[in-house]
Amino acid sequence: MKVVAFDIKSSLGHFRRPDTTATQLTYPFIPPTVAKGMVGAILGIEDFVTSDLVGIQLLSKVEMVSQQLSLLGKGGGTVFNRPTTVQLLVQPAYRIFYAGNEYVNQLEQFLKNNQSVYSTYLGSAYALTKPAYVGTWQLNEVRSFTNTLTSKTVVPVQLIEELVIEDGYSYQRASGFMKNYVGERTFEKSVDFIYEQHGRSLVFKPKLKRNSEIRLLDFEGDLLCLV
Amino acid sequence: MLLSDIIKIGKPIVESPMPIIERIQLLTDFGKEEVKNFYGHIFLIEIGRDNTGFQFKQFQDEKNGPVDLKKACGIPITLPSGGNPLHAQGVYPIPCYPMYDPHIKNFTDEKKTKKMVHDRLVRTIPYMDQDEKTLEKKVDLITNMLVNEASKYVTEEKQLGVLVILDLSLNIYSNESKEESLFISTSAMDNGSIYIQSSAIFSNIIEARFLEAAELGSENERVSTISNEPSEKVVSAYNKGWLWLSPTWEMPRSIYWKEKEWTKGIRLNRKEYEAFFYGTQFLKQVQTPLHASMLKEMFAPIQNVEAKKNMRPTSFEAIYGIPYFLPLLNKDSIEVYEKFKVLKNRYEEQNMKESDLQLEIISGVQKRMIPELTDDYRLTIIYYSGTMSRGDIHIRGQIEDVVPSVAYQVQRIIKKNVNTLLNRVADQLSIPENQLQFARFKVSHLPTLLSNAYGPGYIWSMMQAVLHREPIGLERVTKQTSRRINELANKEEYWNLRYELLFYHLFIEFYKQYYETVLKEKEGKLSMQQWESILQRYLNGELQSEDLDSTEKIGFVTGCLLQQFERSYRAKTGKSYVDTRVMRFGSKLTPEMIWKNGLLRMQELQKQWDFGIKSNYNHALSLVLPSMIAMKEKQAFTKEKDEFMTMFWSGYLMLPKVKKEETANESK
Repeated sequence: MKVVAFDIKSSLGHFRRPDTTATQLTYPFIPPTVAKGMVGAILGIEDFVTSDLVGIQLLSKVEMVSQQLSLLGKGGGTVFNRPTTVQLLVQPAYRIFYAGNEYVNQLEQFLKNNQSVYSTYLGSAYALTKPAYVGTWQLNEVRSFTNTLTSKTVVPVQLIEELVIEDGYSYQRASGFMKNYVGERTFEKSVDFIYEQHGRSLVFKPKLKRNSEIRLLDFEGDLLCLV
Repeated sequence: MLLSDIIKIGKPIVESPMPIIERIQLLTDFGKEEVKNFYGHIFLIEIGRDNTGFQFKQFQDEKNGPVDLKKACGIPITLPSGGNPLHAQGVYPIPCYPMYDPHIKNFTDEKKTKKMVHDRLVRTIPYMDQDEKTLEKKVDLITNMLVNEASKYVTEEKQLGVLVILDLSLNIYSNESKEESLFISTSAMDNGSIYIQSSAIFSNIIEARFLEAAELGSENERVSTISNEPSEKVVSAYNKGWLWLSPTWEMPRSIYWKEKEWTKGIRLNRKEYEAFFYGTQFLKQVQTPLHASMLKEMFAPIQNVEAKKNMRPTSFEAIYGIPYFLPLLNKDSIEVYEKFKVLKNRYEEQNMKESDLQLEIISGVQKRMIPELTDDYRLTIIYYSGTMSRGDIHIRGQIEDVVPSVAYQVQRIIKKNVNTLLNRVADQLSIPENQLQFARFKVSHLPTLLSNAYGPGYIWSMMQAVLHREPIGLERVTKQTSRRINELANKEEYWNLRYELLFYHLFIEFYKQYYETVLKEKEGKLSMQQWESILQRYLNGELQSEDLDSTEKIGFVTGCLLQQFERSYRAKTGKSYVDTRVMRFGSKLTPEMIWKNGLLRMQELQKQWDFGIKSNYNHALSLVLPSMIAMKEKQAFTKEKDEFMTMFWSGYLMLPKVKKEETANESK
C-alpha cells in the first residue's frame, strides 16, 4: 500500500469535541476525520469523502490549557457576546500517514510542490499550519501477529489485548473520535485510541481477532495503525 | 469524548444489582432535598372501571421534614430543568406530576385545571397510545376530582404537591403484590392495595428520555456512533438532560443540518442512551462544589500578601469538581460498579483507610474517595463553573488520565508533610502548634499547595504536571516567596514572614519527595533535616567549607550570623541591627546590602564594642566572608538573589535563642 507522510504543527490547536456545546473542549490530538479533511483542503476538494486511511503519530507532548474568550452568542436569536471557555492544545505537532488508492498520488504531488488549495489549520482557523512533506513508502500489510507489536501511531483500543507498560511512560485513553465522514457534514461510527502522552511508541499484544476496519502496515519493523 | 466516557460510566450501573429505591433516586429527583416539600401534599386520584376515588396524603412526618422514602418511592417525580415549570415539559414516564403552588391554587378553576391535566396526560408514556376520546374522558374525570375534592385541601400558604393518577386500566398498576412491585396506597374505592411495577418505572423513564432526545432528530436502521452497531432506532445525543450537551448553544451543529438533524453528528441507540442517562445522573450525584476557603487558596493572587489577605472567600465564582474513573482497557462491569458505589457516597476522614484515594487531598473535591484503584484505571477530574441547570457551563480545568499509583504517591507525600513535617518546620520557626490551622490547610491539598507556590494562573498546568508525573520547577516558587518575604520584612511583619517560610520549606519538602518517590530522580535541594544539622553545626562552631558550597547555604548561615549578632547588638544598644543598620530607610533588602551593610560592619562594631558573642559566631563569619566575595564574583548576588534571600530569612528566624547561662559561660 502506498503511504505518504506529512508533518503539521502549530503554536496551538483546537479539535472541538462534538459533545460539548456550552463549553468547548478539545480532543487531545487531531482526529482521523480532521486529518482526512485537511487532505481535502490541500487538494481543494470540498466535502471530501474518501475510503483512504490515516495513521496519526504524535510529535509533541499532549498539553492543554483552558482559555476564556468572548464569542458572539447564539444563532437564530439576538446576537450577543458570550464568555466561552475554550480548551486549547499547546504546541501540537503530528505526522500524518496517508494511505490508500484514491488520493495518495495527488497528495504526494501537492505536498512535494508545497501547494495547498485551501488554507490548512489545526481544527480552528486561528491555528494555521503548513503541511510539510516527509516521504513516500510502499508498505506491506501486517496480516499475522505472533507476539507483541510496536506502533509509532496512536492505537485503536479494540486492537489491544494487553498493553506492555514501560516505566516512565504515560498511557492515556482518548475516547469517541468520529471515524468516518460520509459527506454533507454527517459522521459515522467512532473509535477510541490509546496514546502515550509524549508521543512515544506503544508496545502491545494485539487481539487475535482482526478488525477489518483497521489496517496495520509494517513500517521499518514498527507498525502503523490506519483508520 | 465526554459522552462516550459517560456511557462507559453508565453501563456498569445499568447492569448492576442496584436496590430499587437507590435506582429510583438516581433516575429521578425523588429523595433530593429540593423535592421533599412536594411530598407534603399528595393528590391521589383513582380511576376504576366504573367509578373514581380521591385521597389526600402526606409522606412527610412534619412540615419541611424528610420524606418517608419507602412510602413515596412508587411515585417519583422529576422537576423540570429550565423553561417555565408551570407548563408541561418533556415526557412523563408515569402519571405522576409535580404540582407547583399556582397549579394547586387553580384547582378551583375548572378550565385551567383541565388544561393542566390534559397537557400532562398527552405527554405521559402509558397514555401515549390511547385515543383522544378515551383520554378526554379521563381528563374530565381527573379534573372533576381536582375541582371538587382536591380543592378542599388548598390553603392560603404556599403549597407544593404531587398529582398521582392511579388509573387501574394501565398495566403499570396492579392490585396484587408481585416481585419488585411497590406499594402505593390502599384503594379509596374498595380498600384493596394498589401496586406499581418498579421495572415499568425504570423502562418508562428511559423511554421518556429517549423520546425527548428524539425531538432533535431520530433515524431508523442506522449505525450508532458509540457502539458502531446497526440499530433499529437511533436518536440525537444532544438534549437538556445533560446540559453539557444542551442544544441551546448550537455549535458545533453544522449550518448544513436542519433543525431536527442533530443525528448527523452523534446518534445513540436505546441501550446506549440508557447508559448515557444513568451516567449523567451518576455524575450529577458525584459532582461536588469546592469549598469557599479552598477557592480562596486556589485563586487569590499570591504576589502580594496584602491583596491575598483582603480577598474574601466568597468573592470567587463557585467551581464544581466532577471526579470519575474508567478502565484503560475494557473491564468487568460489576467491579467498576462496586468502585463507583464508593465514589458516590461521601466519606468522613476518620473512616478512610491508608490505601483509599482521598480526592480532597489530590483535587480539592471534598469527602469523595476511591478505594484501591489499580493502574489499569485512569482517573479524570473536571472542574467547571457556572450553573449547570441553566446550561451556563464553563470548563475551568480538566485533569485527565491520572494514573492511580501516581495519585496515591502524591497523596502520601502530602499526608507525610502535614502529619510529620508541618510541626517540625513550625517548631524550627518558633510557630506554636495551636496557630497552624491556615498553614495546615494550605499544604493539605494539592491544588492549594500548588497555587500558593506557583500562583493561580499556573494551577491547572501544575496539577496536570504533578498528577502526570512530569518534572516541576522551583524557580518561580522561590521568586514569589522572596518577593513576599521582602514585602513583609519591609513592614517588619516578622510573624507573617515565619508563615511564608513555613510554607516555602514545606513546599521544598513536597518537591524533594516528589522527585525522589514519584520521578525517581535525585535533585539537590536540602531537606529540613539537613538544614537542622547545618544549624546545629553552626551553633557548635563546627561548620565546614562544604556547609557553604551553595548560595542557599551561604544565605542560611548569613541569616544565622545576623540574628546572633542582632541579639547582642540589641542587648547593648536596645535597637535592631537589621532594621537600623542593614535595611535602612525602608529599602528592599538585597544580598549585597546584607554583605556590605551587615556582615562587614558587624566586624567593625564588634571590635568597637565588646558584645561577648559566642565563639561559633567568629568561626562562621570567617567562613562566610570569603564565600560572599566568591558569590560577588559569580554574580550570584543578582542571579541567585531569591535563593539567597529566602534562606537568609530562614536562617535568621530559625536560629534558636541561646539560654542566658550558656552565654555567660561562653563569655567567661
